[in-house]
Amino acid sequence: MHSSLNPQSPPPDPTLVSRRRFLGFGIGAIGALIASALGIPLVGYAISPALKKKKEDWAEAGSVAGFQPLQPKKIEYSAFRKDGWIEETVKKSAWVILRDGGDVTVYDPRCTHLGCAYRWDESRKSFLCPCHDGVFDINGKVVSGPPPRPLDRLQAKIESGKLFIMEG
Amino acid sequence: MLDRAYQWIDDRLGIDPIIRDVVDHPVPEHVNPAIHPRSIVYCFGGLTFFIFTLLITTGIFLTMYYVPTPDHAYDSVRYITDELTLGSIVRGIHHWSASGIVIMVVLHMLRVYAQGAYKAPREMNWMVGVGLLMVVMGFGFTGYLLPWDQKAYWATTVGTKMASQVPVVGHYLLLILRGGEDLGAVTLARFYSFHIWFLPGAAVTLLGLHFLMVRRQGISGPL
Amino acid sequence: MKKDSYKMGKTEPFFPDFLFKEAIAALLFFIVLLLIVVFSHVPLESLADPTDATYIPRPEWYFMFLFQMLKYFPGELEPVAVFVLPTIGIIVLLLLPFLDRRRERRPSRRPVASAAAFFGLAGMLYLTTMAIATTPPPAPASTAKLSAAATAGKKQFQDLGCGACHQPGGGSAPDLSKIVAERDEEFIRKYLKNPKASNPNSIMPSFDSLTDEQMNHLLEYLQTLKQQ
Repeated sequence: MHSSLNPQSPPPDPTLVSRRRFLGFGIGAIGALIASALGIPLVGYAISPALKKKKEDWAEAGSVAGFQPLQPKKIEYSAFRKDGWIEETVKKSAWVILRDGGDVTVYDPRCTHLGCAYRWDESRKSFLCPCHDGVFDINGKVVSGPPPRPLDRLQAKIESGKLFIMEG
Repeated sequence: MLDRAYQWIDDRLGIDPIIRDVVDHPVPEHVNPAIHPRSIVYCFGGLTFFIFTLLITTGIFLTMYYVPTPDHAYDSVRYITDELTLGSIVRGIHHWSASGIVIMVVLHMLRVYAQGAYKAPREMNWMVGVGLLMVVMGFGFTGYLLPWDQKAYWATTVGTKMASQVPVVGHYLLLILRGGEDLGAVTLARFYSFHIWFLPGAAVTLLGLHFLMVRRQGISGPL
Repeated sequence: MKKDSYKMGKTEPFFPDFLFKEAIAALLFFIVLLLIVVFSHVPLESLADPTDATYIPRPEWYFMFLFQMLKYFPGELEPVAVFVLPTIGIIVLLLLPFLDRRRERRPSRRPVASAAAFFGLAGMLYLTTMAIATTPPPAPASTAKLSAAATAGKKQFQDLGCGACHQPGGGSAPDLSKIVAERDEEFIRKYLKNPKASNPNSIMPSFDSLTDEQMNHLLEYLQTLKQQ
């Protein structure tokens, strides 16, 4: 680069040029080796929270002994939450409906429109959202109003009289 | 291809003279280990700089998860070490490099001392070097507290307590170091701030001067 | 500009010739570093516990010599070790080029400078070695998880100030990790209630006032001090 700019200088010795090229290549190779040996752990470390599979856990949500079939009931339960290095139990709530035959349906307590808390209206046999008048039936289907989709269902099961709700 | 890209940039910025100065400056025979094997002693300064880049790189990545509060510091370090993929490698490189840089700094200083390379006209560069030694010690002292484990807490308790032995201003010095009577949240936050802002700033400034002076004065001659 | 002149000899350009050698040195260092990182676990002890006065602090190895110096300057002389000597050391180091102004550079012809460096280094090495040799390792109990009873016992241990005398490695009282290894629980219980009954020369206070439950917790904790 340098010598080519100067027409007066004699043509460089070809063996010297190839030696310089070789050493320059060697420095590049060593640099790349160290950079990748350092870079792979750094990148792996930086992105690993994104690659971690979310751990799925059944949270115990209490006994269903007093529940009437087809009578929605709002429950509160605590679930274990892991957020990076912070491990804590958080209070959660859900709507629980016992079905005939022992099945159970659990709905996320937030309206699918904008996340308001809805309530069960016994007289109309439907869930009413006070924010924008969204109405859902007991199966979670939208009856009227702006909600774009049915109520979100949480995976749940009953084992020996106790309700378990899937986290995550 | 690379040549043409270089040409294109140089046409616009005229960087060639600066690059030429760095790249082409002649290195004298007496520091060439291929000719004189014992001139291997000249590698310690360069290695110190290499380790410094390792520490800066891994340090930047460690701040991604580390939180400097008594509530979270220990848990975030444990999370980095035990739960993140290759996190123990990243923290390990930072941890062991810290010892490595101290060793290299000492070896580099011993070479300069033994060869009397601090003598005229290089007095100023020696003093900058002593400043860099203090900065490295500062890094070691502040970094030791950050994991907030037993070793960190008690060593820093003793280390800051030592400052109170300074005549007259001792107690104020202790208060300034700890940010209060006891070692706690304020101490951790200020040690962190020093470790990742003040000291790296000082290190980069002094290193710039250190290198500039070496380029201006050239390396000291053969004995 | 003042520049010293000397024979450059057979020079080589900084890039790539000289830098190539430096790169090889860096690569070798990096390989060694990586081996250490992979084959040793990066240390992390248990969470900082400001109430645990039994913990023996150890600084990083390169501060060990300062730490050790404290032991030779007890009481009122302490400022000498932590302030006077280090300050003098730093000032001498900083002003070295002005203190040593002779042009002579060969170590063999600079006897004072060479001897100072030798004794300085030897002193630091000696202090560091002594510090490492005399500082016992941390008690294993601090890293293990304790049972509920043992945790309550640990609190008793701290509140009663047992650790002030019973230091790991032995202070003014025996190392308890040895006692629990050698004696059975009943002996220790009796001893705690009335030390003079078992050993008339004992200077340990009696802990007869503890409830049975407190005593059980304390004994439970003492068992965890046993070395694995």
